[in-house]
Amino acid sequence: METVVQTEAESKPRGVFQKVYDFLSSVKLAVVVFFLLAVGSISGTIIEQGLDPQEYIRQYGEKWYYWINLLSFPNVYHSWWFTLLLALLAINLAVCLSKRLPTIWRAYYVADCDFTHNLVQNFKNSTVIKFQGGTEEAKQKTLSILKGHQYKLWMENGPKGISIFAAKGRIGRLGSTLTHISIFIILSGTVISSAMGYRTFYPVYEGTPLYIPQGDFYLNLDKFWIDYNDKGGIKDYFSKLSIIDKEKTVMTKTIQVNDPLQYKGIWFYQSSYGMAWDRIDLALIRITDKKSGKVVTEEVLDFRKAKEIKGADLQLTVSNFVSHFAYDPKTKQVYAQSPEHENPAIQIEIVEGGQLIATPWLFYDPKLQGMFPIDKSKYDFVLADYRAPQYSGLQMAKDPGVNLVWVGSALLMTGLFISFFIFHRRLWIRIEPSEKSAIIYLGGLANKDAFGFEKEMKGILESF
Amino acid sequence: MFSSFFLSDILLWVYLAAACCYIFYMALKKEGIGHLAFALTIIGWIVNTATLIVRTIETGRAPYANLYETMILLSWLVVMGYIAIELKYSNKLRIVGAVIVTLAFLAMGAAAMLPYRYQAIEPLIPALQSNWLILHVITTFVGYAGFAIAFGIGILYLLKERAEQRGKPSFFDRFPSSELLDDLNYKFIAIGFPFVTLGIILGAIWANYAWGGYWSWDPKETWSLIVWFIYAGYFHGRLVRGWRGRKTAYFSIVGFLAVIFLYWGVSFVLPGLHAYA
Repeated sequence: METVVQTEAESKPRGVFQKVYDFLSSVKLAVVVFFLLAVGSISGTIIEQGLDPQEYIRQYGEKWYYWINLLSFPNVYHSWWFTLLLALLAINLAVCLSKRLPTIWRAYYVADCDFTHNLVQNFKNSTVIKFQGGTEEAKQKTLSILKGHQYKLWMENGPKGISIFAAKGRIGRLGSTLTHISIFIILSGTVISSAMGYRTFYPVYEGTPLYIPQGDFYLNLDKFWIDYNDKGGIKDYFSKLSIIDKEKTVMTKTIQVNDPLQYKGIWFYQSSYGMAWDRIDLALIRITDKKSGKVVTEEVLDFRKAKEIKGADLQLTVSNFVSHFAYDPKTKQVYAQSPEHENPAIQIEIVEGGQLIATPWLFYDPKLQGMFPIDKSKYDFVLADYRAPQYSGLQMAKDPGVNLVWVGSALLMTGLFISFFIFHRRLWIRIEPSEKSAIIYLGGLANKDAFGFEKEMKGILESF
Repeated sequence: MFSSFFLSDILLWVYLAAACCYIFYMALKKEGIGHLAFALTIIGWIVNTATLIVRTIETGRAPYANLYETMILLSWLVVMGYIAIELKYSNKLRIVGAVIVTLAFLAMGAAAMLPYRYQAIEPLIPALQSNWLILHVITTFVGYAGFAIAFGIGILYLLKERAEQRGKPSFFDRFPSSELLDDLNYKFIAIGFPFVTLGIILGAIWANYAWGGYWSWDPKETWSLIVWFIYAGYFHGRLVRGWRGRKTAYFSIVGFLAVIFLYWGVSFVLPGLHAYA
């Protein structure tokens, strides 16, 4: 009695374990996960990624936004459920591999010469040949034919006959194993990439060294220029970069798209270029006398550099610039809505009669000029022109996972090639003596390409 | 010297003539028309080759930089794949040509109807000025061509299988057996899949070198992954669960529709980083 109870108690949790194990290793799970990953990926191409919440509310409404946000649709590819699906794929891979590996290994490794003609005749592809000659002759003939077809041979001479096992392309068996291991490696590479890698965009200006804290060095843009083609289109653009480490220039390279610079494992890519949205080189200010309406002077001002205006008892400083004026009432801050020069404006500090009297914003757009006169001043100020510097858009990236991804990719290609183009074919041959002649039983299996195998079998038969 | 536009116009008509011959061949079952169809296909393929060469001379670079140029490349690869079948199976599979050459004709027709700005010879934008362009595009398109041929064969399979089940003499009698079509369908997907995989990997290497990241979930990247998942599902069904015939034929059709979306749909509907083609 006791033993029965014990085995029941033992087998019950094992039953659950077995079920979970079977589920996690099943191909059904793999196909379902593929399907869900595909659907999830599609959702990310339909719902625009990474917008502001307000934008989603505007597009889909408050009610839908609740669900969109709950299921992380604004960031599908990094959402909990997408990550979960990828993790499930990895678990499925690992469990399935552990389950199938012994079988695959046996098919790969075991040469089986212990069989009778009954087994041979059970195969779908099998024939019986009446050979005119002795068993020894039959054996020699068989061996030479199979060698001609590049088969590897194993043989056993028994008292009742000869068993030959022939195989080729058995490495084809390992193709799928390699493929699955490689996917696992690629996935681990991407995990390392997202956990330890970073990507940052920097607009870099000529002559303003940029400190890179991750590598404790400075990056200086020596020069940025654009080459044009005959039609006036942009042919290419270049940044001459210098790396300054411990106050020494250790490296200088001209980079362009498709030709980055690397220092201390940190890569700098030419990504874009454009006009500054937060600074200018020069501003042209027109100063008009309020009473007479006459232009007093036009002054060129450097950015953030105070200038005395002769004969007007004025000191002006351009303190700020935005390319696309916007005002945030919550923080009471002016900011650039976009890097485009849609509505450029400068902020100036006006010192008149030795006192800072105002810090107004001046607009470049003629429609907005003169809308806000400065009561305390004798003058009107207009932003007549400005010149913004060009920046070189550099992408900085470090990715410690990338090499693992490449290793995985190389293994993936090898695995796919092996499993699609190298076929494992096995033949079992039994030669038994019959009166004055021999009977050859020939049967075989192919793991893929049944048509090709049938053809080969026909060829082998014809050779007899 | 003929311009590539002139040659591709000629090409369109040659493929149309060949496709018509194949259809007459199917209907009338006369060997002579079949030979004519195949001869026209060969001529078409030679003109197709010439178009690619002339385009290379005109642009001074590999001619794979926009939708129009890649369509010429795709039809060249697809027809070459069919010619290979024809030579290997000596006339037994001539009817496959009816679908494949029609596909090539449709590809050239679609290319001809593209707005001019998609056809014009433009200098390469900085992002495309790289040797990776040739490797990435060729491998990807060999993959697409494999899937396209498998798609054509999948359609033939469904027609043939239905006719076989009815068991009456029919229009489809001259089709190759459904087993052979099923086998070929698999073979072309087995060619397409590793090439598309390689194309994705090369694209990732290139993206990493040009933009500083091997994967950005750009629509083109995402859809290539979707296509990859579909065909990966196909292989698991076929090789592990033993799916055959109708199920896998439908799979090859759905897979190719996803390829068309990846190739054309994403370019027009969901432009991203990969906006050139």
